[in-house]
Amino acid sequence: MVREKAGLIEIMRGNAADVLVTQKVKKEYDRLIAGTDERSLRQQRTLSRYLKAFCDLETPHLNDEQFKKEASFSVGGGNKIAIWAFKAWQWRLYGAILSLGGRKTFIGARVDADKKQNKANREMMEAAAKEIAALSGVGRGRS
Amino acid sequence: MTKSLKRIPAKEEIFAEEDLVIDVQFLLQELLNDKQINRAQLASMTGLSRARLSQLMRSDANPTLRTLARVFHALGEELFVTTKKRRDDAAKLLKADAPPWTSVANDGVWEHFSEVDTGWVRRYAADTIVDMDDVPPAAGSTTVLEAA
Repeated sequence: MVREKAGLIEIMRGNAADVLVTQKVKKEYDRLIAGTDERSLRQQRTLSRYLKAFCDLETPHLNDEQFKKEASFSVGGGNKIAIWAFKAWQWRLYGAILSLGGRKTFIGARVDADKKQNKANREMMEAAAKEIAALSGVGRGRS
Repeated sequence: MTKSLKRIPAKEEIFAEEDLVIDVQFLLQELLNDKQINRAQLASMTGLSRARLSQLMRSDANPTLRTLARVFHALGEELFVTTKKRRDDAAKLLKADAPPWTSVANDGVWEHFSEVDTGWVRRYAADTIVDMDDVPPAAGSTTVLEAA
């Protein structure tokens, strides 16, 4: 299973889906959770509510300003990976939605912790797509 | 001269603010999904620009009560304002006022309940029974059989 192979870490589990992140993202996530300033607290609460909605509901009531499919990237073998972003104030979590062991799973692979503009960071998203492709085997004929 | 200090809100206060904004945004998105209304249509229905609606949906949104009333009214909905404590108290009162029902038989398919006040007997599909005190049965799952 991908999560065991790649050392992905589960940060939320629900009735409908799970959220896993890479170790690098987990460090950023932990830094956010540890923050006690006003901005960090707003970001923490917002991100936590969005992730919970994603995990608990088959059809989450998340709008495009909260969770959006930003772009798709070719990852080889004629495959593409769609990159989605959770947007909690200036904090962005980029990743992809895959099915792991039959479970709907968001894999978070990049964080932009201090987004200056609302426009998604294309380089960061492309790097996320490549990392997720490498972890999941998408693009190399494995699943 | 005293320098004014910016008040720093407590963690719980910040979470309460974020929760209320997110609850309203989730409810609005749920209604839009249910009614199959897109942003362009909502903009036309409310007279608000798409940019303003987008701003309303962001995590840093701070919509006025008037804007919210306008949006929900355009969707044919009315926001009902209360506090969690008042809502819970009202639910407790309703529960206390509800007439007692007693399970009198269960054959595995139907469970029969008798209403103490009236003597009427009702049957519910046994597998739909959750908790008579807390969860009303789904519409259509109840049949009034007979007066005792």
